[in-house]
Amino acid sequence: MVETDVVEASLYGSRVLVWSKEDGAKLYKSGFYGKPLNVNKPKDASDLNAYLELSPLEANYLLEKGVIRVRSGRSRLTKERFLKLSRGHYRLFDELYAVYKDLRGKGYVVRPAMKFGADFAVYQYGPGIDHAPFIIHVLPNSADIDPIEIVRAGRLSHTVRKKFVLATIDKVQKKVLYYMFNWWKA
Amino acid sequence: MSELPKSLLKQKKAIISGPDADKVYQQGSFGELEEGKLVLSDVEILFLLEREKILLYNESEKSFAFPEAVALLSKDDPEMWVRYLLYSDLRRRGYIVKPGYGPKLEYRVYRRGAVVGKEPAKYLVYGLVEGRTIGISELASISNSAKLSKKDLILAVIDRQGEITYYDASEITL
Repeated sequence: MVETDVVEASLYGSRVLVWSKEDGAKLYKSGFYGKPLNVNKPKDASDLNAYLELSPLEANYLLEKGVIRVRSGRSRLTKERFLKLSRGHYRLFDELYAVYKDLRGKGYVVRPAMKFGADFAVYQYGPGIDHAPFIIHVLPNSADIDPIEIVRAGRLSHTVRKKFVLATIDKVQKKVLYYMFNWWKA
Repeated sequence: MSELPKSLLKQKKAIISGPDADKVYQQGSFGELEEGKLVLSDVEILFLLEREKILLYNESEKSFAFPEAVALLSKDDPEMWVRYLLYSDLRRRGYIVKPGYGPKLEYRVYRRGAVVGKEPAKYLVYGLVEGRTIGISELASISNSAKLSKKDLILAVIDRQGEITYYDASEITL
């Protein structure tokens, strides 16, 4: 990417904003990055005209890819510095980021899934295009899984009618493992 | 009562001899037939005893009722009762249940009406006990061993009062 194409983003506290509406629309369209301010579920991304908020995961990913630059006040943040700040602002940041990167790297659109009671909603094409995203819950790295997590996962799959997946990071194999649990009528 | 097959306790197993051996085996592939004798494992003894399908004696002709057998078989084996809960729950649902691969809370489970020896077990059932966590690496290794033996992995979550709920678990590639 040419230096001039790099999108400017600004950090306020723990939140990242893109002030150029043109750049914001470009980012959003390029893979459903960010949330246009005060626009709910944009129907048509082509006439998007709003400020864009990026999640810390998205911002770190886009910074690492060289798509954006992040400023805090007058200084520009290195990706190392920004990563460190993000860790302080968000629980399980490293685990979430590893899963986010793994999925984005595979070409999925990865969005927050707070409303489903989980960490990520994963779309093949994008929200509003495919309707049954995978819902992903990330478990801490050290994890020991409490059986109740499995029950919860099974329950959620059943009630939300979406594919609910637990993601963990295998430190030995250095990869993300995904598990699905469904209630089994014995 | 006197017609019930007699089993003889030897350490933590029980042996049924004579024509009763085959008779008990035929009731649902219980135990292992070895040279005409049927050898029952601890959970099998308890299941058949609880259902009043066999009688249990030791070498000095003392008979054991179900509670006494539980006490005896869980000596030095704190996991025994939980293993029995899972075993008997699956049996009551009509499955044929055989020991798993490890010393863990694990069973190979055949579909209903299966003929053991003619077909492999369809499921690997692994028990998880409420209040106790399972390591990710352990879950990964169970999942892998189920995959290698071409069985569906079923996790049985056993709550603190012994109620069991089953979940089909699969590792997926996204």
